[in-house]
Amino acid sequence: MNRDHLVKESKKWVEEAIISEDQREQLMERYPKKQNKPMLLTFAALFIGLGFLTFVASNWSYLTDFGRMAILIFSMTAFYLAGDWVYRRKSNRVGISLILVAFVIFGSSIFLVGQMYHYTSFSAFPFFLWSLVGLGLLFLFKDASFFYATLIVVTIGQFYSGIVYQHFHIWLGLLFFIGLGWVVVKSRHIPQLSAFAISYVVHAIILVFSEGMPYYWLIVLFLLLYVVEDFFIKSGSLRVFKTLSMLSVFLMLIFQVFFLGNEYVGELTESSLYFFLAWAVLFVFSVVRLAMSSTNYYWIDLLLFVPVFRFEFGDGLSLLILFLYALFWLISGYHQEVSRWVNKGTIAFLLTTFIAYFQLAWDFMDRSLFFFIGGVLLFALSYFLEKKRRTMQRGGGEK
Amino acid sequence: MKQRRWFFYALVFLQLLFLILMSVSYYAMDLWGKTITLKTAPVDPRDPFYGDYVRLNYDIEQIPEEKWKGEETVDRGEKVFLLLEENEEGIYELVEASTIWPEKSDGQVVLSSKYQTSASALDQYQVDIGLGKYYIEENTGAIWEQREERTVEVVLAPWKQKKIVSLK
Repeated sequence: MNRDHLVKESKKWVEEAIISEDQREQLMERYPKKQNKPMLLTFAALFIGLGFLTFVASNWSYLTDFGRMAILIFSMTAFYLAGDWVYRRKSNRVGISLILVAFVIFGSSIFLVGQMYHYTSFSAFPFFLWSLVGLGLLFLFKDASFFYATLIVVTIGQFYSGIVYQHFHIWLGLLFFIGLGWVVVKSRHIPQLSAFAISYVVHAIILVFSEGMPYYWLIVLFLLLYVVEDFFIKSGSLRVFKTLSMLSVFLMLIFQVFFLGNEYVGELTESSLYFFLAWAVLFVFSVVRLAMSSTNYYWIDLLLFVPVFRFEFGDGLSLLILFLYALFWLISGYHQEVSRWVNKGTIAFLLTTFIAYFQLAWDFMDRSLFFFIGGVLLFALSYFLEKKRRTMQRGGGEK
Repeated sequence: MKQRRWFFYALVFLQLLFLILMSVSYYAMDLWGKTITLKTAPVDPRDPFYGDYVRLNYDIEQIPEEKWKGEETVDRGEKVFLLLEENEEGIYELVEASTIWPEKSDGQVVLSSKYQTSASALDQYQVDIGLGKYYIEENTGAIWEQREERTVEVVLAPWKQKKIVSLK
């Protein structure tokens, strides 16, 4: 019920002696005032900040170095102090947005001042400093916007480090894992967990490729993401890390289907002893955990983490694993009548079929025929799967 | 709550301090730094201008094998110290390059750089002294473009910072 409506109505109820004043107050407590989030004000603050920044940017070359410094320092301080004042006196939301603008000004100032004074950086250190400030603001204000802001700075910084310097910035990495990781484990807020997991996947990919590690280390890193969730998520809650880990490893297997057949992979697969050690520890651990838990169906997930790159026909084996994964989920979905599993199996099955078809038929089939037959195949497949799924859902509904 | 506010002010102050130090140390170099002149090789003729900066390619960044005193294999990005000495024309030239801080005698300076690659065919090691870009005012690139070789005046600060003073 709408609170405003209740305020009016309950007054009448008291007047008509239906309820007492005490009861009215009790009722009102059940409908607390919703925290009114002034979205418009947030945008107003952001727009003023952006307008100011674009004004400065367009007149940048007419300014002396001293003038530039003065503008950057003044605007940053002004936004910080104004933000703090508004946060304490008026509105948390608007205060946070003003501080966010100041945070962005600080980050851009590092780069602008660096350009003014011909600084050259050999690493993503400016990003590290920037995200350190972001983490500081996050601890001071405990507001999710600073979590996302810091996460974005860290991820972009790490990406930049990987692309420009072919180097995984270890401090940014530590700040991400320890700082943001700690925040995310404490809050267990699902959007934050998902954002963290996505950034983790980006970090893992940058780590493996910029440091020249063989690509199969990704299996270990994704498996780690899968395993680590057991330590802080109560059973029965959403499996955020696991879902993203599965998505990543599924995509990686698709790449394996296409690339493991090539010869150059041979040199990639040398010296994989440490990989197998790390992999075995994590894999055995997750098998043991599964054996102890009550739902035994998630062993299907672990299928995707089986490394097959050592075999000559690794591409075929990858495909086989994908098929088994899809089929097992379909079967257990029907068996246990869990439509979520059936949906997962269906999508995985369709994708795998398409990939298998692509891999097998692309080389020796006429292109138009290839797509035509492929389309018909998928149509037929999805028709049968959908029909089966519907009958199951209907059956489940009757129960 | 009071404590949180002071932490906040401290955090803002540190950011200000960092930006101001970036600026001040640049000017302080003129006071306490040592000016040396370096020669640059012709820049990449295809595209010397990347937006509004000039690409500079210093002679001392190409290290011939006989002047290399460091380890045989060096990782990309590792520190390499260049020992420089002034020649008769007043230009500083490379004496030796090493992965450990070299002993310097009078008139010599040490410049730190990052290792890039080795061109084994040329018996050369390539390093980057971090002054490869010089920002110029927009649309003045054409003036610089016509000149292939130039000398660059660089200031070295005692706190290991360096900057370009001018291009000649």
